Amino acid sequence: MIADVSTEIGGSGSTSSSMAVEEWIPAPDHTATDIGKFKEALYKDFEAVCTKHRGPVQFLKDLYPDRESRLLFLNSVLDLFPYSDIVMYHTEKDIPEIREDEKSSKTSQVLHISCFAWEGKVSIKRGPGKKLACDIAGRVLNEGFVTSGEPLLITCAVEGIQHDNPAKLNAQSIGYSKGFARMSTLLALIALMIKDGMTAEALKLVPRLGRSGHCKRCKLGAATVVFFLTTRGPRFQNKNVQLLFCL
Amino acid sequence: MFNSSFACEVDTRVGNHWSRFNTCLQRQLSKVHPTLYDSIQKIYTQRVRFESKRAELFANFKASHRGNVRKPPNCVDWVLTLEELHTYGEMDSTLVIKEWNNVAVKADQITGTKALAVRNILSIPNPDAKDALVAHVLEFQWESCAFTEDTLGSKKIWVGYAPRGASKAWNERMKVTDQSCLLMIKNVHNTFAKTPFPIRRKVSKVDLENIAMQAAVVLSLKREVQDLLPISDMILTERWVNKFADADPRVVTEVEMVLSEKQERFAVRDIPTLCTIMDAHSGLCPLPDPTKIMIEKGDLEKSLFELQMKQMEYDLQAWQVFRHKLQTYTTTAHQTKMNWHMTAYKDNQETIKHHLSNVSRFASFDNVEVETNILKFISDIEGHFQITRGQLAFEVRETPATRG
Repeated sequence: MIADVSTEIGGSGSTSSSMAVEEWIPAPDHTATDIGKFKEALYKDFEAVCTKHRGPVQFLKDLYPDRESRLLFLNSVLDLFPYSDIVMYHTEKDIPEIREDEKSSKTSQVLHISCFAWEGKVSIKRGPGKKLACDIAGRVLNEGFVTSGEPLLITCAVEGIQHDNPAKLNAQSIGYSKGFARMSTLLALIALMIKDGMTAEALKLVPRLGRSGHCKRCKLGAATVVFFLTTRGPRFQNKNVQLLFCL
Repeated sequence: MFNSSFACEVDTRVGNHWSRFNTCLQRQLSKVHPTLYDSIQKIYTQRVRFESKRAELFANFKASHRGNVRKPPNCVDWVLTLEELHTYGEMDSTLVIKEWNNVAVKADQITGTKALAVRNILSIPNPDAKDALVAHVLEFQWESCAFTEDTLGSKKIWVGYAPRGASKAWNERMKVTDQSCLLMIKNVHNTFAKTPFPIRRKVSKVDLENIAMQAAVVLSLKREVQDLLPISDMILTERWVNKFADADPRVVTEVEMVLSEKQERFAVRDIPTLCTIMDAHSGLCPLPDPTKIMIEKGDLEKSLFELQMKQMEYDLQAWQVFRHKLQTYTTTAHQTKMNWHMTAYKDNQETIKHHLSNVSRFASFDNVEVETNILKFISDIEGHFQITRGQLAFEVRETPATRG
């Protein structure tokens, strides 16, 4: 699936020779990192996938149908949102339970985004439809994913992806008593960000690379591979392909 | 440390390149939209202990009545959630609703038409009909979809309802079945979807009840047609039932017409669409007079014979022309060839004569003087042509004695 990262342009690497180059994507404009354009592009994409898949949950299920693809998503999420050093995450499997009337008096646990699930019996309610999901997405993009005022009510719903340490909380294992619509919308937005990382539109998010070079999109079987070509910096003098990843 | 515990499994497949891209993406995201990035980094949660799934559901629904984006659960939400509760062992939906009504404020209680709608949807025997209804609500959202609690609460649209007041045959035709229920939902959905957004309206209770009756009649008439003629199910579904489902104006108008009249002596052929389908399959299309057909057949055969004769005459003429041309060609070619041979012969003869007159000499002599004459002849030639004897070729032939 993945080829050598330092394949020379026009080199004799077996992977590059077997790929059919689809197109050269021009170097993105760094001014596209404007927050307004970012929100607009992401919301437009989200609306389109909600129309196509009928909702964010179905979109996630279609995009990550098996454990392997969910693992890939997990890896991307962990890279995109690494555990912050200044946040006290709850990482243990045993999450303290509270009574319903203690919600306002007890402190909330901060969980990492990678812990939340969408697959399986994660909520007693079905996922949100298009309109509700778009409403939530608009609000999330404008105000952020605010949970400090009203924490998500969670359950340990599914097995998820097992952690090496049995005492630690599994990834993609947290279900919802309240907040499935919000979280599934957020996860779909993140999935779109990662997915759109392969498209010209979202490449605007990586202007540091794009400003000084080009991207090259190729087909490798069912996968789309994107090369980033850059000559920026002392390491890149030889016009090597610096980044390579695939969908 | 924790991060790598999950990542190691993936890294073996994709290498570090993905991570490097995402690191760039992350840096950019934190720059482009720091509010979103920071809020995702800190997700506050609480794990509340509920006595049962029912209690969890009630807590969820109570919270759904608060906030700007949130909407109180509609009857389709209730149906789906109650069905989900079945998987947790909560089989008695009536009891769940009753308990909800005990704990909920009056405005949120499931009573009246809403309760009827929930009960009606729960009791739909055809899962396809239920799925179609849910798909419609998911697509358009409850607030802006074609149905209301009032319309779904009507018992006249659901399976088993048999209207009265008309004749027995018509009452039977208008009886709602599980298939007609699905057809009604499809018709409403397609009509709603085809209507431009600004003029979309929710279907009124009376209209929905009429559509339910029309759907039932459509399916009954399909069966009646099949009783009369062996027309395949596929054809009738495609050209009759599906057209109603797609809200085809012609079919809908025809059904409305027959339903408004409900004639005693109604026959399926009274509906133009069905009449066309039946005519196309019954072989009862008007045929011309058989005598006329025979006459036309005789004329046709005569014309055919004449045509064949003309064709043969033409072929004969063509053959004759061909033979004549071939003969002419052969004669001309032979004559030309002979002329050429004659010319060549004459030319050769002339050439030989000329040659012989120049380079040869004929002499006749008696045997006695032969040697002398030959030597004299050779000497003459040598002298005349200034050549040596070795350059001469000569032949001596003995002519018949009679010649001399």
